[in-house]
Amino acid sequence: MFCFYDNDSFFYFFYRVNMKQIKPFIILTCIVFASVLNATPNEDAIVNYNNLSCTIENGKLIKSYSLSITIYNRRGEDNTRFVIPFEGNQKILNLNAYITDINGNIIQKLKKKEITTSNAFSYGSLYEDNYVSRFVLRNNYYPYTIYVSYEIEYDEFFYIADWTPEYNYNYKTLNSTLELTIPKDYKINFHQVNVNDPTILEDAGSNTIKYTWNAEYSEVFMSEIYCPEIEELVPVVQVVPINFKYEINGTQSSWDDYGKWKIDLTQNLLDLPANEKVKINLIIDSIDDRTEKIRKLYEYLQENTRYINISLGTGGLKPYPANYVAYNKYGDCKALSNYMKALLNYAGISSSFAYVNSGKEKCTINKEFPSQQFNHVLLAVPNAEDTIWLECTNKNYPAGYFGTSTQNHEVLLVGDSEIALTKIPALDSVDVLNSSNISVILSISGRDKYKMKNKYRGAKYEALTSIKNLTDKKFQENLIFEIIPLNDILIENWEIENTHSDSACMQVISEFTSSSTLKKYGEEYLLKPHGIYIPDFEKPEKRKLPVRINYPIVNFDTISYTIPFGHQISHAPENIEIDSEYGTYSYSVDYMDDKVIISRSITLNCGEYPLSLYPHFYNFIEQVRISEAKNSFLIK
Amino acid sequence: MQKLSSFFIMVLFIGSSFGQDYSLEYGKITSNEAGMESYPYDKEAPAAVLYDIGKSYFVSNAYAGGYDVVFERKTKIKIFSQAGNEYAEISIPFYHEGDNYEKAEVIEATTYNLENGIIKQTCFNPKNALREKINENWDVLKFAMPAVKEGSVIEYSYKVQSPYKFNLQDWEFQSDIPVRFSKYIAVMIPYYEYVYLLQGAERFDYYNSYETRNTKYSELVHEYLMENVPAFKDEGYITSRQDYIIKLDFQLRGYYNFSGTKFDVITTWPKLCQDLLADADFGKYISTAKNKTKEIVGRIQLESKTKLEAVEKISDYVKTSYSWNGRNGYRTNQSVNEFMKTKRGSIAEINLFFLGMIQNLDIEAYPVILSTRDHGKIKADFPFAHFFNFVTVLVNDGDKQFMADATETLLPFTLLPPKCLNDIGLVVNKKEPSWISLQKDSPSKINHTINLTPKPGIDSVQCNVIKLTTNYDAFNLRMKINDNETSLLNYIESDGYSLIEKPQTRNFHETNKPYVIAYNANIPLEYIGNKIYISPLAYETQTENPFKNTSRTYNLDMVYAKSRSYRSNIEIPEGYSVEFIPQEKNIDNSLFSMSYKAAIDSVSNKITVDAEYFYKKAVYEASEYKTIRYFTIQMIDKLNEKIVFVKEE
Repeated sequence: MFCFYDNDSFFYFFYRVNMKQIKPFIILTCIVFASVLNATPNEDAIVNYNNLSCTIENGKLIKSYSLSITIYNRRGEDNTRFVIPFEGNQKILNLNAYITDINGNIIQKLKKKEITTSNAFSYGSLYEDNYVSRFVLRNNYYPYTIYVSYEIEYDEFFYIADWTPEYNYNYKTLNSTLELTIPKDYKINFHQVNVNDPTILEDAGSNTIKYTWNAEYSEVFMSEIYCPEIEELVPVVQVVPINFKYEINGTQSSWDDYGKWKIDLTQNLLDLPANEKVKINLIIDSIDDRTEKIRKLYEYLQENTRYINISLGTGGLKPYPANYVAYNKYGDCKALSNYMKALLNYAGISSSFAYVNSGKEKCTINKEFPSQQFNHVLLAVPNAEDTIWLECTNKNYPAGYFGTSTQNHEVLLVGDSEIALTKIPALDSVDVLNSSNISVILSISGRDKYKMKNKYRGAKYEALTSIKNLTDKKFQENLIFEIIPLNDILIENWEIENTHSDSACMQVISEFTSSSTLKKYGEEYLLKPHGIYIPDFEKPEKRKLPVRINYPIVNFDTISYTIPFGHQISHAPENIEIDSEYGTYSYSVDYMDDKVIISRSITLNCGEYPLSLYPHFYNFIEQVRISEAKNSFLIK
Repeated sequence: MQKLSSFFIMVLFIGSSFGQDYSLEYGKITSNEAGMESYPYDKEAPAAVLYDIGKSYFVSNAYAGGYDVVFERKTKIKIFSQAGNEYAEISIPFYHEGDNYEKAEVIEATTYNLENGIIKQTCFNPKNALREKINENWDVLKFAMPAVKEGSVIEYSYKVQSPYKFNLQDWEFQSDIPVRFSKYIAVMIPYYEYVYLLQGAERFDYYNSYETRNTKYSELVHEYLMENVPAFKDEGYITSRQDYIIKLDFQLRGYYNFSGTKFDVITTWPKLCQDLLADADFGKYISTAKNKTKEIVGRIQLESKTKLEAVEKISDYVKTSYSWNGRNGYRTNQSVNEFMKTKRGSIAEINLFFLGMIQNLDIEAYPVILSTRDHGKIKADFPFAHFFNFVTVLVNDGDKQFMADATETLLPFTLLPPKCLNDIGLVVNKKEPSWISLQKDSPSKINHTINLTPKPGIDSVQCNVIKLTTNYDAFNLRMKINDNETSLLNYIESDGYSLIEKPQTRNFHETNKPYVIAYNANIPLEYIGNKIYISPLAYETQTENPFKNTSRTYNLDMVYAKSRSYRSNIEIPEGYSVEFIPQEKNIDNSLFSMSYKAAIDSVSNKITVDAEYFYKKAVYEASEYKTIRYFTIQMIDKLNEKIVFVKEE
C-alpha cells in the first residue's frame, strides 16, 4: 500500500467511534467523502417482482405492496428481514407473508407473534411519529420463494408514489409494475426516469383511468467513489396529485401554486413574546449597519437555541411557531428558520425560506415536477446585491456559511408572497482550501520534534467545528493521533480552534514528538515523508459509473525537515508539476540552511465526467500517485 | 422601601441556601450552581451531575393484591458547554410483558438560567413527554428540557411503578460525566428479600441501614452514597461499558407469603442448576431431544470410527439442518417438535437439541450457561440468573474435555463463537455444578508464505502469497470472504495489490481445517536513486500502531491470543547486489514474544526472512498496557524494515 498520509482518515475514525457524541449533520458530511464499502452483486437471491398498486377512491389513497424474492442459498438471507414503515395514524392492512418451495407449495406462513412493531429509530430526532413493523421470514430448504403483500391507507397525502423496482441494490429485480388507478377527473402529475412510458387504459364502467409502468433493475449498482446517486441511475416513477390536502388544502400544478401552499402553511407563525422583543431591541438598537444586524441576530439564534426534532403527525411539514421556539429554545430546521425569520422581521429585515434537498450528490430540482423534493430549509436574507444564507440549525457556523451539503444546490425560495427557483452559490477553491504546515527537527536515535499547524475549510471545517463543540477533550486529542500517521507519538500540547470568530476555517495546532523517523539502511538513512491525500479512484477497467465531483478538493502541504548536524541529503526527488483539465499537482523541494522544505499542492476540479473520459481522468490521478511514491530522501 | 424589597427578591432568587455551594433540596438552586463555569474536579467536563437521588419502596397494589415496587428519582445537572446538551434529553425506560405495563410518569422538570443576576425558570409540562416503543417488552418516555444553553441547571423528577419485583432498578453511581452526589435508598419490606452487588468500586462512601416502624410491619431502609465519582471514559478494547461502570445491582433472593412461608428465588448455584435441569425449557427439552433423535444418532454412529468423530458429525448435521434465528438465551421458547418442524431456533433451542443428540452416544456431555461479551460479566459469588444469556455444550471424552457449539456454521464445532469468550461459564451438573474457563489456551494463527520477485525493468514486484488461517482468524476470514469471489478480490485488492490472476482458496466449508487463500499479484517497486527498497513482507503486516494512548485505566481485552508467522523469500534481481538486510531481533516474556531473522542464501540467490510474533494473552491488565504498546511499536518497526538492493556498476 502506498504510504499515503490520509488527510481524510479522521472521518473514518469518528464514524466508527462513540456515536452518542455525534450529531447527524456531521454524518451527512462524512458520507459525502467516505467511499461506500463495495456492494457485492451476486446470484444468491433474486427479486422476482417488487410491485406497487395505488388506487384513489373517495379521496383516499390505498397503496398495495407486493413482493416476491427467491433465495438460493444462505448468503442470500440478508433479504429475509422485512421492515414496513408507516406513520402514526396509519395501519398496515392485510399483511400476508409466506414461503413456497421449488414446486410452489406453501411450506411456511408468517405468524402474528413473529411481527414486532416499534417506533422507527430516526437518528437525529428526539421523536418522530413513525413506526416500523418488522419480521423475519426464512427457511432451510433452498431454493425457496418468499411472498409478502400488504396495504396502507392514507387520508391525507401530497405524494402518491415514489416507486422504483430496485428493492435491495445488491440483487436484481425482474420485471415489476407500478399501477395507478384514479377517477377519470382526478388530476395527477408524474415524473419518470430510465423507464418507458406507461400504458393508459380507460374503464368507462367504473369511470377510472389506469396507468401501468413496467421496469426492472437488471444492472446491479455498486457505489464508487465520487459517483451520482443510485436514484439517478435506476428506473424511478414519481406521481403526485395536483390538488391535495395535507394539514391544509394545496395545489402543485406549478411552483407558484406549491409555493402558495407553503406560504399558507407558514402563516401567522412569526409572533414573538414581549420579553423576546426586548432582547432583540437591546441587540440591534446600537447598530446601524444592516449586515451587522443580521449577523448579530443570527449569533443570538445560535447562542440561545438548539436543534431538537419532534415531529408528530402532519407536523412533519408545518413549523412550530416562533413563540414555541422562544420558550423552549429548541426546534427543527423549519422551526428554527421560522424563528430566525421572526427575529429579522421584527428588526425590519425581510427574508425567505429556501427549501433544498440537502446532502445529496444531485444538486438540481426537477423543474417540470412541482412537488415536495426537499428535506431541509435555510433562510435567505437579501442584502444589498447579495444574499446572506443562514443555516439555522448550526450553532457554530459564521453567518452566511451554508456548507458543502447545500452548496450549488437549486432551491425553492418562498418569501411572504414571492416564489422563485434559484441556486445557492458554489464553493470555490478558496472556500475549500485545506493547508498543512509542519516543521520537524529530525534526530538520529532520539525523538523527532514536530510543530504542526493545519487549517481546514469546507467539509473538514464542518466536521471539526462539530467535533470541537460536541465532543470531549479526550476524543479531540485522539483526533490528533488520527491526523498524524506516526506510530509512537507523545503530544505535548494541542489546540483545535477557529482561525477567526467569523471565518469558516478551523485550525489544529500541535507540538509533539515521535520516535525517530529516520531508518538506517547501510550507510544511509531513509526519510519517507507522509503522502498527500488522494481519493482512491477505481481502475479504469473496473469503473462503471461516471464521476461527479461537486466542489473542488484543494490541499496545500508544506513540511520542513531540519537535518541532524553533520548530515546531508544524498538523494532527493525531482520537482514535478502536472497540469490537466481535471486538476493540478505540484511538488517541489527547497533548501535553506540545514533544512529541506517540501511543498506540495493538489487540486481536483469540480466537474462531471462520463465514463468515456474516465481513463483520461484516472491518468491524472495515477500520475500524482506515481510522483508521490517517489517522495523519499536519503541522508548520509 | 422599594429598594429594600427588590433586594429581598434578589436574595430570594439568588440562592435561599445562601452560603452553601450546592443544594440537595428539590427546587433550590444556589448561586454557586447557577454561576459556576466548570466542574472543579474535572474542568473539561461538558456537564456534571450535581445530585442524583433514587429511592425504591413498596406500595400495596389494591387491584392485584400484593405489592408493587415504586422507583422515584430526582436529578440535577449543570450544563457547561454545547457538548453537554445531550444530557438535557431525558429517556425513562419502562417494561411490560403482554399488557401488564410498568407506569412511568414525569413529575416535574425545570430549567434554570442565570440572566443578568436573576435566576430564570422555564418549566416543562410533563404532559408533553413522548412515549416511544422500542421493542416488544420495552417502551421509553422521552422529553427535551427547554431553554437549555451554556450555564443552564436542569432539574427533573420522575417515578416508575412496577409489578415486576424480580429485578429492582440497577443504580448507576457513575455516568459519562462527573457525578458530585449519588444516593440510592432502598426501603425493603419484610416480605421480599434482596441481595445486592456493587460493581466497579470497593465500597460506598457512606452506607447505613435502619428500621422504621409502620402500622403493619417494620421496614428496613438501606442508604448507599457515593460522592465525587469521576466520569466513565471508554478506552476501547473492553467487553462493554456495563462491566466497568460503578453501579449497584439488586436481585430478589426470596419472598414470604402471608402465612409466613418462605420461597427462595435464587439461593445457590447448585439450586439454580437443579431447577434448570427439572425445567421444561431446559432439562426436559434436552431429554425430549435425546429421545427423538435416537435413530439418526444411531445412523451417525455407524458411520463414525470414534466417539469424537460422531460428535463432529452430529454437529455438522445440526448446523446444516437447522439455522439460528438471531435470538440468544439459555432457555427454550418452542418445543422440540416445533423446532424440528420449523428448522429454526434460538441459541438455547439449537444447542440443547445438540446436547440431547450427543447424550445418545456413550459420552459425558453437559450444558454450560454463560454470558456473551456485550451482556456483562458473571460474578461467581452471586447466584443471579440474569447474568446468563447463552448456553453451549461441554463434552468429556475420558482425558479430553472441550466445549462444543452448533450455532455457528463457519466455526469448527470445538470453537465457541468469539462473542462467548467472556471469562467463565457454569457447567450445569445435577451433582456438583462447576465453573469452566472460556479462554482458549492455544492461540489463533495466521501463517504467511511469501515469494517476492522484484522486476526492475517493469517497476514492480511480483508477490506470491499463501495465507493460512486457523481458529478464530480462519473464522473471521471466512465471514469476510463468505466464499464469494468479489469479496475475495476486494479483500486482496483493498490492501493495494494488483492481482495478476484469479486468487485461490481452500477449505471454506471444511471448518475443521485451516482456511487458506493464495494469490499472485504485483505491487509497485520503490526506487530511490540507484537503489531498490523492498518490504520483505509485502502488504501482509500492519503498518499502524493501534495503541495510540500512552496509558490505560481498564483491561486491554483482545478477545483471544494470537500469533502470526512469516516465511518470505525475496529473489535478488539480476544486476543488483544486496546493500542491506535487517538485523535479527528477539523478544520473549510472559506477555509477548517475537523473532526476526533475515539471511542471504547465495546458492539460491535469495534472501530469506523468518519472522513471528505472539500476543500470549487474550486479556491484558491495565498495568501491562504500556509494555504491550512498547512491544507492538517495536514489532511494527521491525516487520516494516526494508531490504535494499543496489545496482551493480
